[in-house]
Amino acid sequence: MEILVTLDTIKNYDGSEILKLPPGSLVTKEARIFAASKGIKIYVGNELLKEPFPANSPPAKKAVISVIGEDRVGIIAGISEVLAKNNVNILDITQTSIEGLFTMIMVVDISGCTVSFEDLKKLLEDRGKSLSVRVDAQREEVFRFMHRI
Amino acid sequence: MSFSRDEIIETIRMVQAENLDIRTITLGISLRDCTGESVFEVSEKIYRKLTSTAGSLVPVAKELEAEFGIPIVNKRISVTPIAIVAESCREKDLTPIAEAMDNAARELGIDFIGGFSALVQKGFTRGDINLINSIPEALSATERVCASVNAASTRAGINMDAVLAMGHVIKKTAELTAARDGIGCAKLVVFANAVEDNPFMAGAFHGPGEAETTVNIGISGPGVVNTVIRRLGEGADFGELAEAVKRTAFKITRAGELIGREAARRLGASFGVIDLSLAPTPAVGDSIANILEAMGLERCGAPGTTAALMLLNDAVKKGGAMAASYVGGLSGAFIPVSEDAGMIRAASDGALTIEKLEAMTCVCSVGLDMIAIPGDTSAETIAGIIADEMAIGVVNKKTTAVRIIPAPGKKAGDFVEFGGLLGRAPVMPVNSFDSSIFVRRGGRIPPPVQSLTN
Repeated sequence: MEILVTLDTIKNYDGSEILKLPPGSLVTKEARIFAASKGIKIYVGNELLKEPFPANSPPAKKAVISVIGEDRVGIIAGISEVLAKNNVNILDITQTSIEGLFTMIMVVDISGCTVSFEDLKKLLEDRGKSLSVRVDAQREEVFRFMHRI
Repeated sequence: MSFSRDEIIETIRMVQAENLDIRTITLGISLRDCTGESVFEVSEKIYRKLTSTAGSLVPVAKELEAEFGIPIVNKRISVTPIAIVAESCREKDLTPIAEAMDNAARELGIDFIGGFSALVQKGFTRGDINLINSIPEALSATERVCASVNAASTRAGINMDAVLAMGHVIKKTAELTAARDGIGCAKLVVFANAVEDNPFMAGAFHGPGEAETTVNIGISGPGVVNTVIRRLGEGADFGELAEAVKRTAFKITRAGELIGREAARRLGASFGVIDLSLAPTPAVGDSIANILEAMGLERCGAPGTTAALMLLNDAVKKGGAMAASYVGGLSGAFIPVSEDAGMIRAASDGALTIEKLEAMTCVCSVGLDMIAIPGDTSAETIAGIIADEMAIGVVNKKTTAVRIIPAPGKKAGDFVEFGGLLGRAPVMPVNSFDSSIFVRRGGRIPPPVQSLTN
């Protein structure tokens, strides 16, 4: 009988989506998270193990888009057009233009985005180039981790 | 908006202007299931295990880089010390294993693979001896394999037989790679108190107490700290300096924590540790020496340097420890001479000597790192340098190491060029008095009274 079931045990398990373990088995949290991510349900005896939280951290919902460059007509319009085309909703927007240096920061909702984050980034970068500004897109977690305890 | 504009701008500036990056994602892989009786059988098993386990490391790292907008400079692998894996091989030459590791690394797109290692602080097994004897050949025949030998610990003392042997191994490795200024030695570290979860090369290996696969993260950001200190100006007192470094270290480390957790989840590996080290690169502004100079020293190496480094190292740990859930590895500022533009300048100006560097290693990680010395330095003198550094580590219960390059055909004042992250270094003069009778005594320097803690 296995007393302890670890991440590695689950990784080497290539059976069906239901893993039955004898009553009393201990399953590490890491193993449960991994099983949940692979869609494997673990039964200890007859009891279904609950998925640990966060089993699958929810897919990215928000991203921060920053635009820096020389001010000119049509920057916001150009960037928002790319976002609208790909079903990205703008939640918040702030912009300043001091002595000709333009900075804009947008917080957007990407949960309904029709392309992958990487592709969206590329589209924004290309558009930025044609407007001669630098565009960056980052998932919001970076800022949450760095600036909030 | 949940963040202020200034916070967002600050993060973007750190990445774009101040070289904030994740220095390395290192995937530790256990090779304990790759043993065998023939070195070729073992090599084959290792190659297969590495390529099948680490296939997604580089793609996942690229994905994270794009999503979070923070560059991940190096993707690396550390493995179980090969001396343990190859213990039961009948052949004495373990070079084929190094070649198998090198091939796997090339195929996976990984820049360095660490773990061609032996732990011999108290004595040698057959596998240890075979590994140490194979190091010069293995490092000259491969590009990406890194070797390390733990020759001392606080609990065991200093294995002086190993120290003297490593003096000779370093000389031999330099000779075999003479055409490239002895670059083999840049991939070889001698340790005291080596740690099992170090993500940084050349000293990374996957310790015997580790999980099957583990993700360890090395953070970076000397450029960010440098800017913060410069902005404070000359009027700030030491309390204010330390506070500013702590705040910055917290932010840098949080970025590492986020990437580490996410990388572990996507790779299906355990999340190991964040290594709270400030690691420089040869890029302008990405220098530890420049931080010390920003505190008010004309050059790194001037009197006050050790105190400045102590403040920096401690503040980084205090800020970082709160930002990370698991801290480990080497966790301290690195002072590799050839990889740090400020150190290179200080050394070529004569401000920085080996003796000063040795003093600095008392208050930071990791040791005499990437120092080029004249090619005619004897193996015994190198062993003496190693013994001194081991003593500092053993007595202070900390990790210390020596990565030194006796550059063939070069004398003090010349330059060696390694290229890439390894950088370039001025050849530094070495004390020319002889220590051969001392280092040839052999045996083990007993552990200090500090080891009696139970």
